[in-house]
Amino acid sequence: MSHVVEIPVGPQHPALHEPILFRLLVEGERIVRVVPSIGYNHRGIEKLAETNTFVKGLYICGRVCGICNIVHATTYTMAIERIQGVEVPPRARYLRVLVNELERIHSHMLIVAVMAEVLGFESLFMLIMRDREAVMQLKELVTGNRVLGDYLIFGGVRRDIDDAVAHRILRTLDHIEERVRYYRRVFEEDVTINKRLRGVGPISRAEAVRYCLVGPTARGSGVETDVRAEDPYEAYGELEFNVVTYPDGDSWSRMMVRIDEILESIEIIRQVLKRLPQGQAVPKTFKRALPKGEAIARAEAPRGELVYHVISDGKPTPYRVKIRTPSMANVINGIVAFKDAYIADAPAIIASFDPCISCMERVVEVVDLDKRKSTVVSLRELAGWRG
Amino acid sequence: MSELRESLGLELEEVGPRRYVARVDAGRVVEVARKMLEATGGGAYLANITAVDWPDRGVIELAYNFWVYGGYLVSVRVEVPRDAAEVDSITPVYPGALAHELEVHDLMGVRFRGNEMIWEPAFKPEDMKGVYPLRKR
Amino acid sequence: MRLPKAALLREVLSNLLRRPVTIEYPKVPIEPERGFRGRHVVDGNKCIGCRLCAVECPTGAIEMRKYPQKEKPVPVIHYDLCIFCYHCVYVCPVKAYITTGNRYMPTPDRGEMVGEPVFKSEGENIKVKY
Repeated sequence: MSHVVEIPVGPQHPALHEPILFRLLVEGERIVRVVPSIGYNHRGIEKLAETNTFVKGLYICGRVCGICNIVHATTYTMAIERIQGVEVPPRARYLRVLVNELERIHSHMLIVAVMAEVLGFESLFMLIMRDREAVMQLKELVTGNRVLGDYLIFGGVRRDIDDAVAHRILRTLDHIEERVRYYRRVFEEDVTINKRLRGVGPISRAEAVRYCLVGPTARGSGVETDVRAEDPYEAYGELEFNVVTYPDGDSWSRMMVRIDEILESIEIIRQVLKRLPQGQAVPKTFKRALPKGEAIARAEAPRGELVYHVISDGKPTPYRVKIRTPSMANVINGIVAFKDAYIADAPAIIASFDPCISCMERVVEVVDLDKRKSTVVSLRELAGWRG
Repeated sequence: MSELRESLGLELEEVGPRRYVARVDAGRVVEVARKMLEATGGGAYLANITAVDWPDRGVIELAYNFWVYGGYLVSVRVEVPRDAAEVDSITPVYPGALAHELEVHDLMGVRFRGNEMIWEPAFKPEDMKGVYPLRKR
Repeated sequence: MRLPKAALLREVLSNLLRRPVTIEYPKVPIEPERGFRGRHVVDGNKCIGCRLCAVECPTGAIEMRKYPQKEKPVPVIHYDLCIFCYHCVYVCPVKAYITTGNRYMPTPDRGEMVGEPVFKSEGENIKVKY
């Protein structure tokens, strides 16, 4: 007898940190099909960016995602600078790499801790969060805030660092490296983690290419792709680092890719601070107007490849800003990993994609605070839809 | 790079370091996608589909951005008329195009023939079926 | 039966002898880092009234208001709209903004969430009261 039962995971669920609904169709304990249902966090950022100037767009796009906000601002700024033809000074390029890598370290520590929590290993979750706190304080020291860095501007960065800051960063990173090596040992040796993650949610290399997966999700299946190595932007062309891949394609491989990338990021930051060029990093003025043109800028967010396609037609507001976040491709296309999995594996598979649902959807409930009165403008009105 | 140019049979215009643009007719899009997958030996994937609304020309332009591993980005541009926006889906070649075609259909209203897995409304609230917010007024 | 490698046992034992890591904010005050973006106000004497901060503010949180001490209007910041991006601080041509690291905000009175400009007279220290 085979009944197909539908079990909803989400939109509010202890295993998920952001609202998304996965409808699992199960027969017994095996998952037969997964139907995702999205749209709980949609904020209309693409339409919003079309109705605001380019400078305001910088602050809007920096608020698409809380965890990878610096990378969104970096990619948007790269696209704008490519259209404007502006050259960024070398010191600013190295500082941008520094902040992007700090972002990557804290984001990867977060998902490793969340994976431990989802498996029920709460002590490990708390220990990793305790160490992640030191990285958040470094971000506060460099950019002025723990999240929402607002560190970039067209043609450079907004703040410079001095020797005291650099010394503090290096000292903290020595401590973090030792702790991350310890967590790497835990992930390799612990019996429970191995039983729950190895062989779960396998994706082969050919599937990873045809399903257009990106980032550590693809690198865990043996696809050697990293935007920093293939399409070097900012100062990555002058730095040395490895592209981390693991061949098996299961949840364990995807988590190990991320842990190894934390160690690579620490090495990158050490190189940046050793080779930091002298000069001016903060521009005195910046251009607000763009000529006609378009640009496609790509960057490596902690979750994968982030693409910004900006089209300008010479007016003060952009004609089109298209944001392709890595979670959009990974989470919707990644339902291929649920083939023949148990129900209990579903949270482990979902967390191994590192879903950032805020990044994935970009729509809205616009609250109009003009005249200090809050009304809600429906999306239908915002779209100006007639008929 | 030159073998790709020959096997695709397309005019590739270089618009920047590692960025190429090609323009094809709407009917050829599945054939071009298949050539991208095979000519590179399984070494190209679809990064995204950007839909741009040009009301003064009466077309919607779809840009299929393919990234070839280790090299360069090829942006294949297709134009469809605004009032009859339909194009063939490339999910038989790249099943991962589902996420991008879903978003383009949901927010811009382009129909993808042959893709049964698209559901509407996906990103929008339930009462907005048939409303396409990203179109220009 | 193989004994599981006690990877975390040493860690747990050493944590038993330490005090908790949690900081009981707001009973225990936290000192933010140098450069934290907190409430900011304008130094009224330096401001030249160019309105660049009000025009470029992403949320429109800056209102230009007429004060008797100056002939041109000076900026007043509404913290309930402000996102603390400090774009105003960055673009000001005369660097007229005074920045602090204080962001303690909870208040039942919305009128308190306004940052009025500070006009110091000659020889008097600025005391920004929060």
